[in-house]
Parts: sequence; structure tokens; C-alpha cells
Amino acid sequence: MPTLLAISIISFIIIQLPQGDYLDREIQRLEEEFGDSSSLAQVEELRERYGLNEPLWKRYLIWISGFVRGNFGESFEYKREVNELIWDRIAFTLLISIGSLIFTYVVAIPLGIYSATHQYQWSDHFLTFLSFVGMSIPAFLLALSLMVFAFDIFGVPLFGLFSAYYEGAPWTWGKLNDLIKHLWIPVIVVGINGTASLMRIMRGNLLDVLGQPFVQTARAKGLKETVVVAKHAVRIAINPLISILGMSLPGILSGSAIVSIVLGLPTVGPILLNSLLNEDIYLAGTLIMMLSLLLVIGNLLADIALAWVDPRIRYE
Amino acid sequence: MHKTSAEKKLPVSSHQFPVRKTLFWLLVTRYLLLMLLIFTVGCSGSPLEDTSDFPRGLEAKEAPMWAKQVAAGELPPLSERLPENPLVAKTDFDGYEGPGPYGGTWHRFHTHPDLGTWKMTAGYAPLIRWKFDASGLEPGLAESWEFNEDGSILTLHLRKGVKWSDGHPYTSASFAYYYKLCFDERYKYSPPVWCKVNGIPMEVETPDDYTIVMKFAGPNWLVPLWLATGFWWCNQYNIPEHHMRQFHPDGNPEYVDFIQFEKENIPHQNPERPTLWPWRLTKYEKGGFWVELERNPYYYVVDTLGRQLPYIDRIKTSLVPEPQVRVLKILAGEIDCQYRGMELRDLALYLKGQEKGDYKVRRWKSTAGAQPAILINWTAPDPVLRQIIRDQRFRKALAYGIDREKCNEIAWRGLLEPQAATVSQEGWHFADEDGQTLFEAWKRADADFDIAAGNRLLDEMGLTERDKDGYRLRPDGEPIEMLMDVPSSNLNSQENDIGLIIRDGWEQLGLKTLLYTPPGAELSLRRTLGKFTISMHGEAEMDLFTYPDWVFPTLPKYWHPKVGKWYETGGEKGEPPTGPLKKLLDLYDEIKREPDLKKRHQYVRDAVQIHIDEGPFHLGSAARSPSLLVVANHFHNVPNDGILGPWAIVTPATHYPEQCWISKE
Amino acid sequence: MNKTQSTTDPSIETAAEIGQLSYRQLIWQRFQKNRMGVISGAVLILFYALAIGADFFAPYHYNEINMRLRHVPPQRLHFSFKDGFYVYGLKSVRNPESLELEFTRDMTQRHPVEFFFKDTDGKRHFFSSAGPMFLLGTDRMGRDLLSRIMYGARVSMTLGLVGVFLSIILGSVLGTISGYWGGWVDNLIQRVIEILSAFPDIPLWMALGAALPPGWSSIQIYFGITVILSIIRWGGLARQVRGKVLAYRESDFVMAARAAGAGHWHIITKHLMPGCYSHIIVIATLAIPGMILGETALSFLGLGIRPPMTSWGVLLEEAQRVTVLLHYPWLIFPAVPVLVVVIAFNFLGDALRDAADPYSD
Repeated sequence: MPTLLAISIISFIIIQLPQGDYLDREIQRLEEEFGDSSSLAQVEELRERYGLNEPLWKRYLIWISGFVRGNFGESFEYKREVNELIWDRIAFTLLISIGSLIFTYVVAIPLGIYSATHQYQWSDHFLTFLSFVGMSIPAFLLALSLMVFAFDIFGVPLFGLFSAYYEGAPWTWGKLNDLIKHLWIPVIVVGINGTASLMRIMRGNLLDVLGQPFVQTARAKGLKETVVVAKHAVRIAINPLISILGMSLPGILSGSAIVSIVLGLPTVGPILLNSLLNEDIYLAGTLIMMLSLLLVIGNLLADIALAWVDPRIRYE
Repeated sequence: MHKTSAEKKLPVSSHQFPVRKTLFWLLVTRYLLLMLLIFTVGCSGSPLEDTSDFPRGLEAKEAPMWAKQVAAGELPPLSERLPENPLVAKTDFDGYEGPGPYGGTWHRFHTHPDLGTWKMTAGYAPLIRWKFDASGLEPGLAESWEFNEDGSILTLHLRKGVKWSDGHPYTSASFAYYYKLCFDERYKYSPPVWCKVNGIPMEVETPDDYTIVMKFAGPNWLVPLWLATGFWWCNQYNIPEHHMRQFHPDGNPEYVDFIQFEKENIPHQNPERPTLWPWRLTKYEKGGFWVELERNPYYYVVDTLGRQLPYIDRIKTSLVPEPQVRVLKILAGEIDCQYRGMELRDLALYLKGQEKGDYKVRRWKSTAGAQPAILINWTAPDPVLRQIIRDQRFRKALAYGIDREKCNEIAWRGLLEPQAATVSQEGWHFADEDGQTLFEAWKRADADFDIAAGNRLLDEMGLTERDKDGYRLRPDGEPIEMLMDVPSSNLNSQENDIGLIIRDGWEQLGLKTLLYTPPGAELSLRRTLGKFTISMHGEAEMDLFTYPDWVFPTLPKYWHPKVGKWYETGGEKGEPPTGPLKKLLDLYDEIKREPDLKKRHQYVRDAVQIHIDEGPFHLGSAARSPSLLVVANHFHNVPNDGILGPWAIVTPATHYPEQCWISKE
Repeated sequence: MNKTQSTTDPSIETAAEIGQLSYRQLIWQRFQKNRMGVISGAVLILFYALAIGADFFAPYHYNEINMRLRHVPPQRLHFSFKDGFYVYGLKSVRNPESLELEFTRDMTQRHPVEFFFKDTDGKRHFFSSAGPMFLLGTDRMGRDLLSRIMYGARVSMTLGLVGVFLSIILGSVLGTISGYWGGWVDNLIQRVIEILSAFPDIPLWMALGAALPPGWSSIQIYFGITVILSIIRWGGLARQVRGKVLAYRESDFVMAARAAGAGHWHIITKHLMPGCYSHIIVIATLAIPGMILGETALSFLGLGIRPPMTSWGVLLEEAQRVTVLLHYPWLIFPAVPVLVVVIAFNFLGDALRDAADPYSD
């Protein structure tokens, strides 16, 4: 709780660090986009209407007291309650993040095991190299490249989360199918950096474990190598990965933000960036709080999972 | 947060079974969560109406979807829905293919949740309209209008029988309601600028349902222009008072302020609010991420055969803020017709994709006179620099230091024309031959790239002292520093490229030039508060009577922020005009008093002459870019040429996009 | 969450037992055995040399604009005994519709590549040519991509170093304090790190980016961005250092020193820091790629280095267009040096870690 309180104060201050307020930004946007801001008449009246003349602490108190009651204030840019805007996007953010997490673990663990059991063979070197490449590609570049080449070479338009036909349509099996078809690019792109490093860690852990005496004992007992690895070594080697689960969340969330901006996905990332740029303070503040909340909850879940999987921790 | 939470006794089995199993369950629960998530997003259905029994060809006077409802008694017949004298859409443009069949869905995108690009296309229902070629005004909701002799009383005669999209009659009460609201202390909007003469607001009388009389404190000849200008004024003064009354604190004790009223009154967000637009809003989802509209059954405009418009049944438009995704959407052929939101730099790509995407790229005119204009702050904050800037020779030297050819080639691929900064050449002030001659002179004024001439002028001014780096020194011994504000949200913007080119040129003049990209709103603040030295801004203006600021320093904007502030506040704030700026402001005062249109145009030309003789006040780079349109091959009645630039003349709405039609199902 | 894998407990004594080799020599010897590590180290030295000597190694100045040579595709280098290395000339045709310039090779013209070329300003270049010679093509302003990459390396690669250096100082000082004293100091520092790590990256970047004062020159902005990156990254480092210090705090020689009445400062500087520094170097090496990638992400968000300065992030950001990917694909080439350097740092870090850990093998 104190962490969240501190975050709420800090975020509210830093959102408003840049000069000017939402209306100044709006004028600028109109002029940049259309070379004209005359459609925004009567700026001073609007400023008073939005309470932008109030001191910072007063705005904070209004916002935070509403926040705890579930009233997040109004977004200036969208002219809607923040409440109406964010839940869908948080859901899609979670969908992509969880999808990426699953992708990360499902891909990284087998590859890590394979790499460790084939240590110093060419396939291990190849996977090592591949994982380093995966760790080094900037996500935004990969996202756009995948999208463009998927379109150019295969003719599949894969931007957004739905194809034009299903956008705004009610939920049906077809739409779900469509969503899954669109989901793979963001999931892979967001997951790829994590996958690469996770694979490295899995490989290292397994190698450590394989060198330990009890594994040698098992081998000495005449158990098959596959059994030794699968039944004894992997079990131990996986534990640290669960503790990493919590740590990989920030990366996944900010990764999904950047990828969503590139691909134009309806997640938290793009509106967060936009609301920060536009100093849409209540929307930005609420989104930061929500993301922080997700991170804190994610860490908590990872802790629980770790304790569940590795009973030693309970007695620590 | 820490270990306490994990101290619960857990089944021992989790330790005994292979961990992979636990992991497996972890994954399974996650997957289930995911599925749950997807299904909680909600389900609802809308069956498509079958209208196959009703005529849909050219013989149909109304859309089959309405004919069916009329037959079922759910909607009054067409004759009761149209006004006595419906507005007939103009077809006098190149590219008009003739009346079309009813039906179809128009897919497009918008770039911002405010639906600005849509309102410019089909959110324009003013009392008086701009003509498509911006050569003057034509009737809209008002059939006719006239001034009294001295221009102090304007009488508007409304079309009889126009109805809101819910069938309620549109009358003069709407405007009266709006105007009364402006004086409500609790409502945050004050009366619009154009209704005041010498600071005194007009009086509005409505002798009957179809007459609006505006009485001003003096001659106010520009009002019809204001009523026609922009999509924003008409959407402000067209309030469906019969619907909005329920949210007014005086009529409904539930409300103490206007907050709910204002929310309900946003035409592009609220499907409940009746509208006069050709298409009425049916869906505005997730903060404008997804928007749908359908034809307005009471729309007051018909085609040349007297058939009710619009032809197209539905609009589906989605928010695509990321320009690169827009590009792909267009290339994929997902867009039926898009007027704004394409960048010229992607032209080659769009051209190449025409066949695959089954569309054509069209090029209209942006009419821009400078992309961007380089603003020299007449009231620069540094007093020494200000004196230097006010010397015409210095400004000319700066103009000579810009390689406009290079700006055009590099930032715009050579698609533009290098010239001095001007307003729009297509503007009605310069329509005749004399006007064009004058305009050509303006375009050429100090528009050469001539470093030697620039250096000569600077030497002549006595700025001959230089520091060790070769930069010219000001009289007080400091180097002359040109800090140029570059507006740009991305690194490869044209402004950035042009900034670099100008910097190269000015450095050759011995002027230290720094590029600065102010973060956040600082850029516009530096502009309006007059804190900048050099800044940039795209320049285009078709009508200088309503938006005169590029030529006349009437508002705190562009190259004259503080003088503009002085004029705007009636001399209370800012700095009083001197020299040429005073002459310009005097001319604008004349324009406001002048009844004769021709003479008003002449005053604008006089002002341009001042710019030529005593300027430059702002500098050009490249100008007159084409504006790109993407039109699918099955989409008809889009003009081949037109103006897609300044907002005030509301293109493309003035070509009546409601008469566009689609030739496939 | 704060558990680190307290793997082993390396100490200087072990090294001393092996023989006359000092700890440092021992690490060096072990490092040399790792082929990938050595190769990576060599690659990095080469890149840093190119970056530092960009004025000399780059064939052109990175901001040299060529109005009529925009988007020239990479030219192939040819060799003949008569001309030495040379490239063919360029012919350009203007597309009548889009006005885009389209280039073809002009076989009649050969521009020889000269080594130690003297340009019009009298500056020497390692190699260049009198005619247009763009081995990696040019960008939208007709600037040589190869030269831009070399100059960009200067910013991107030093930014990583300086940034990591700053975060290491911050992280290790606070990490040491936190690990050594424990108690409320530890608690406070851990809280701060926790808040920092629970804070989404993007708003933090944006806020700090916006806080850079106006009128700053490119160099100042460069340092500003370095500071931003290190402020964001020090938390993780501090945690790792703290873990190491915690492990050492209980070790015999620290206990002994404490029993002998040594002061805190003495113990920290004389016993803890030296024990940690090899680990810190490893951690730092592995953190540099994060900085380099962080810079590209900042540029992507429009908060990074600004023209006229350039960096790999700037170059990649400029390639973020569908038009570029489909029509001028060579402009994404800057991704290659980013990949190479990041991979090299990772291999180097791995090798150093293996070398610094006497119990491996």
C-alpha cells in the first residue's frame, strides 16, 4: 500500500512536470495535424471547466479521493469518464501479456533443456546465438517488420487485433478466431526478448543441477539419462524460473506498450503514451496506477507460486 | 508482499509430483483465465434487415431501409420527412458521375477520438454554406439572408420543414436557445467573437419559427462568413433544444450545473443526441476507438432527381492514431474513401499499391503557402535581438539564407514549389488577374537563395564584428544566436529536415543557429506567449476576413504574438503595433466596416503589398503540396480536384459527400 | 522477492592457494580460454575504435546532405588490378508520377576508392571517393548511411558505457550500504527500488525526458539521456550488489576484520568492495546492452538524441516506416551493428562471469 501511495504521488507530479496543460497540447496537436487550431474556440472557459487553474495538490486530492472510491475522474481528450475507457484496454493488455508469458515459458523451457543436454554441440551454439539475437532485437523494429512483411509477402493484413470485418462486431466464434489469428504477432514480439533470456537461464540452471552429486548418484543407479534429466534435474532447475516470473512482468508490460503503439493495438500502452503527451492527467495517472497495481499483484502471485512449488522457502 | 502470504500449508503432493505437472496446471489456469476474459467482454447481436422487397435502383426516392419502415408504419412517409424546399446537392464539379443507388457501407478511419476528419467530411450543417470552390457562400439551413443598409441587422430565413434526426422540427428556436445559453453564468462558454461589435454582443430575435434576426451594435458585414466557416461554429449553434432541455439545470432539478448537459451535447459522441448531419451516430465505443453511423432518415438534402440523400447506408470508422498502421490499412484495400490522414512522403508506396488495393490515389490542393513558414518573432524577448530583427535588411538576409530548392527536394521529394511564405493562392481575395499578378510577386519576394547577397546586407547593417568561430556579433558583443523551435514528434519529419537545411544556410551567413525541439506543450506556449526567436508553422488560409492572422496581426499567433495580444485584448495586454504592423491593423479595421466585397478584397491586397514592400515578416520554404486522397475503385462521385487544406472552408463537406455511392455490395 | 541466488562464495584466498598467480591473472588466464569471449572482446574493441575515430574512418561527414542522391541503394564494391577498389557511377531517373528518384548503375563510370583520401576541407579519411560511393546506401537526405552508423556508434556505444558507469556507482554504493548495514537503511533503499521497479518505464522516461531544460546543446542532451537511463536502471544493479555483499558480510575474513575492530569504512573499502568488483564488472558488462537498447527505445518514443546529432536509436527510428521497409530496406541496416554489439557484450559478459567464478568447470 505505501508503495502504491508513493507511486500515485510521484506519478501525479511527473505527469505534470512538463510546461503547459492539456489545452496547450490540444492547440499544438491541431496545428501540427491540420495547421489550424481555430476549431478550439474559447480556451480559457474550458480551462476553468476542467479545473486546470487549481493548484497541483488540490487536483491530486480530488483525484486520489475519487480513485479509492473507483471514480477516476474525466479524460479531457476523450471527454469521457476514465472508467469507461480503461477496462477493455486493461483486458487486452492482460491478454497479450499473459499470452506472451505463456509463449515465453512454453518455448524457453524445452529449448533451454535441449540446449543444456546438448551442451557445446552445434545445436547448442546455434540456440545460444539465436537467443542472443532474440535478446538484442529492438521490439519496435521487429513488430513493424513482421507486420509489414506478413502483409507484403503473404498478403495478410495483421494490424490491430481484429480484421475490418469483425471490428466493432459482437462476440462470436468467428471473431474469437479472428482475434487469435491477429494475436500471434504481438505475443511473439513481446515474448521474444523474455524467451531468449529465460532460455539462457534455464540452460544455466540445468547445467548447474546436472553437475550436482545427487544427479550423479541417480546416473550411477543406472537410470536412463532422459529419466535423470526429466525426473530429477529439470524439477530443481525450474524453480528459479518461477521467481523470475515476477521480475519479468515490468519488461512484458512495457514491451507490450511499445509493440501496441507500433501495431496500433487497443491496449493500455498507446493511450498511456498519448495521455502523457497530452497531459490528460487523470487518465494518465489512473493508467500508471493500474499498471503498477498489476506489477505488484504479479509479484505477489509469483511469490505465492514460488512458495507453492518450492517448500523450502516457506521455512526460510 | 513477502513470505507471510506463502506460509499457508500447502498440499505435500506438490513437492512429491514432478514440478512439470504443477507448471502444467499453472498454464492451464492461465489459459482458462484467458478464455474467461475473452467471453466477459460481452455479447450482443443485431440482425441485418432484409430490404430486398424494396426498390434500390435509381427509381427509388428513398433508401430501401426506410421504405420498409415506412411500409411498416414505423416511419412517416418521405414527403413528411423532407422540407418543403429541400436543399439540392451541387454537382458542378469534375468527377461527378451522376446519381447513384442506395446502400453499402463506407469504411474509413479517423485519426483522433474527436472525429475531426469526419466532421469535416459530413458534420457540416450550417445556416449558410461555403461553396465547394470557396469562391463565396450558398444557402444551407437558411434559404436566404439579407442585411439592412448599414450592416447592423442580419435577417436569416430558414428552410421550412427541416427536421432533426428524431423527426422533431428544426426551427429558429434552436439558435435562440444556443444564444441564450451563452449568457448563462453557469455555462462556461461565452458569446462567440463574431457577434460582438465594439465589445457589445448582438441581440437575437425570432419573430417566427423560420426567421432569425441578429441585431448588432454597428456594421458587422462578416457574419454570414462566420456562420459558414468551419465545422465547429455550426455544431455549436445547432443545439437540439427539445432534447437538450432535459439536461438543463433550470428545467431539471436533478442537475445543478452544466456538466451533464455538456457531455450530452457532444454531437460526435452521443448517439442519443438528434443531429442534422447526413449520417446519425449509432455507436461510439471505447472512447471513439470504434464508431458507426447510419443514414439520417430526416436529412434535408436531396440529389438532382429529388431523391433523399445520403446514398450510403452506413459508415464504419475506426481510430487509427498510428500513421504506419494507416498506411497498411490503405494498402490492404480496407478503406473505401479517405480524405485526410495520408502523408505525402508515402505517395510512391500508395501509387504502387493501387492495383493490389483496388483504389486510386487522387491529388487535391493543399493550397499551403509555406510548409512550414519560418516565423521571425517581431517581438522577440531579447531586446538587442529584437532591434536587429526589426531591421528589414536582417530579415531579408535570413530569407536569402534559405535554400528553398533543397527544402523542396529533400523534405518533399520535389513535389512542392519553392517560394516565399504566403497564404493560399486559391483564396477568393486573389481571384482575378490583378490578384494573381500581385500574388506571384509575393511568392517571388526575397525568395532567392543568395548567400552573398545575404552577407552583403548583414555587412551593410554593420554586423561585421565576428567571434573566433566566425559568428557575427551583436552590438553588445554577444554572438547573434538564432534559436529555432522545431515542432516535431518524430525525427524524420519535414520540419526537422528543413531545420537542418536552414541551419546550413544561416551558418554560412555567420549566424549561430541552434535547433530546439521543445517538449510537450512548451512549443505552443513559446509561440503564443512570444517567447521564441524563430519558430515554424505550416501556413495556409483561404479566407482572410475570418482568419486574418497570417497577414494581419490580430491574434497572439505566428510572427506577431505580442502585437496580436494587444489587438485581441483591445490594448490591455501585449505590445502596441508600430510601423508596418500598425498599417496592417488599420487595414483590417477598414475591412470590418466595409460593405462592398470588392473593396474588402482590395484591402487584403493592400496588406499583401505591405508584406512585399516592408517584409518579409515570415519566411517561406516549400509550398503548395498536393493533398492525398484514397478512393476505392467502387466508390463514386468524389471530385477529381479540390482543396483539402485550411479548415475554415470545410472541405470536403462542401462537395456533399452524402452523394457518394458504392457500386458493390 | 529479494532473494538472489547465492551461488558460491568465491574469495581471494582460493586464488592465492593456487600458486603465484594473482586473482587478476587467474581471471585473465581463464578468460583467454573462452574463444567466444575473446572474439567478442576483439569485436568490441574494433567497434569502439571505429566509433572514436569516426572522423577519420567514416568516408563522409555524417550530416553531409546530397540533394540529388536521396535513397541511393547500397553500391557494390568492385576490384580490378587496374583501378584498385572502385564503385560504378550512378544514373538517376525521376519517376514521373511520384517524382521519386530511381537509381541504376552507370557502367561507363568508375569511381575509384582512395585510401587516406583528402576531402575539400583538407581532412583525411581512411577511405573515400571523389565520386559518390555509398557502400550502405543513403538516407532520405542523401547522407551516407555507413558514415552515419559510425558516428552513431560514438553516441550509442559510449552512452552505454557512461550510463552503466553511473548506475554502477549509484547501484554499488547504495547496494553496499544496504547490504552491509541492513536494518532500516536496507529497508528504505529496498523500498525505493521497489517503487522504481513497480513504476512503468514509459511515463518515467517521458517525465524525465520532458524535464531536460530548453536550450541544451546536443552534448548536454546526450548526458541528460545517459543520466535518465542510469536512474532507471540502477535499482536492479543495486539488488545484485546487495546480494553479493550480504553473502560476503557473513564471510570469515569480514568477521575477522570486524573482530579486529576495523571501522565500517575500512571494511567496506578494503574487504567488501575488492571482493565484489569482479562481479560488478560482470554485471556491468551484461548491463551495457540494456542501455544500448534503452537508447533505441527512447529514440523510438521521440525522447532520445535529436538531430543534428545521431545515434543508432535515431537511425532505427528513422527506419520505422512502411515506406522504408518496402522501398528502402537498406535503412534498417543499423540494426546489424546493434545486434553485433549487444551479442558481443553478452558473450563477453558470460565469459567474464565464467572466468570470475573459480568453482565453475
